[in-house]
Amino acid sequence: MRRLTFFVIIMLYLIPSSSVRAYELFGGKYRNPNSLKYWIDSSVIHAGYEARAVYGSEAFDSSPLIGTTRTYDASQANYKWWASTKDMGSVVADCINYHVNWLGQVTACWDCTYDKSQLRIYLPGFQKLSWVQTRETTAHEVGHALGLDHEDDVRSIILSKGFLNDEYPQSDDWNGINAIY
Amino acid sequence: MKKIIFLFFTILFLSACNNTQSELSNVNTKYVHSESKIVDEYNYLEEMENDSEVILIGTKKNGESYFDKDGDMVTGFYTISDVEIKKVFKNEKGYALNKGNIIKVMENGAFDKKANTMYGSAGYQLMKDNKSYLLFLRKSTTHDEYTIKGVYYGKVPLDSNHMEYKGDLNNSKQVNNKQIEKLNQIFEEARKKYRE
Repeated sequence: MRRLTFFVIIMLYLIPSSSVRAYELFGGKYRNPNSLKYWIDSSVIHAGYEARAVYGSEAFDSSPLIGTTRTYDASQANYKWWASTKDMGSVVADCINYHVNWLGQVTACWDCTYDKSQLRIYLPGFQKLSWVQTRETTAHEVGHALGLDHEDDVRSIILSKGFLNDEYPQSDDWNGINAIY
Repeated sequence: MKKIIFLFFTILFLSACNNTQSELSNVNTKYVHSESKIVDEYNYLEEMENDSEVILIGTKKNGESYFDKDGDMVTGFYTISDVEIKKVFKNEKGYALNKGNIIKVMENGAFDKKANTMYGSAGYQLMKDNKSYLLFLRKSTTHDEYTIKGVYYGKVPLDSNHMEYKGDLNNSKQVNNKQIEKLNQIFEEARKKYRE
């Protein structure tokens, strides 16, 4: 009996410590996840990546919690897509989230209520990616815009470096979205 | 004698005030990081060495930060830094890289002096003026400058054992402990292998 008790205690200690940590969250979120609007700058359209920006913006829309539509009025947009022709080394895209207060003042933040996301692709590196990788990249950035942080312990579209070579959000990403919203 | 003692304590007091001032300004600096999609990942020093066109030791002399904005919102940023070459270890494509030359290095970070705000891609921290770094680089495909491999991987501080990297800004966990450990290991190996 003593041995059994000892064994159970050891197992109880080991199981939580060996469990894999799943999705990481910034601690912030959009207040209106069901009515998000995205706008695409002409720099993206002229570069031929309009469809990638559309895909990324709507990549999480199969969740009943997220709803995204395109707007052609930049002032109405939550997500704004831009393209830069500068070679930014190993960075091919990025995202900065902003909170806008009642006075219209903006603050860049991740653990706050989001109102705007500035999403940018860097063409010299982005153009070298495969079709799937470009779609994975735009979906990855929108994952950040929604509040998902990098996740490298389990399969996730929000991995910090490199590619899954899969353009779809993974089950851990959906779990993260469910946890946020 | 009294005058000397008075002068000594006055200087001591003023320098203390000055230090406090600069520390306070550091404390008050706001850090904003962009969540970046990084294409290069290195598990070992050898991988980064093979992937770099240029490996050198240089001293940052100065730098200028640039921003793209949408109204008051920063959408993009970078810094072009002048780096004086001290020693070249690899120059795969035969670029003009001689000791004493100044090259331009694009850093994935920028400092907005007016707003006292530091912007960094994936937790990147700018090189410090007059400090030496071991740099793993490639030539930019669009400008006459070099880019750092793997954003923060290819910038190894030599004047300290610090990583000069912030992966935990604004409650974000850009990297986990395993990755910090890996980065530290690559830096340690690089410091041992490449010396002035």
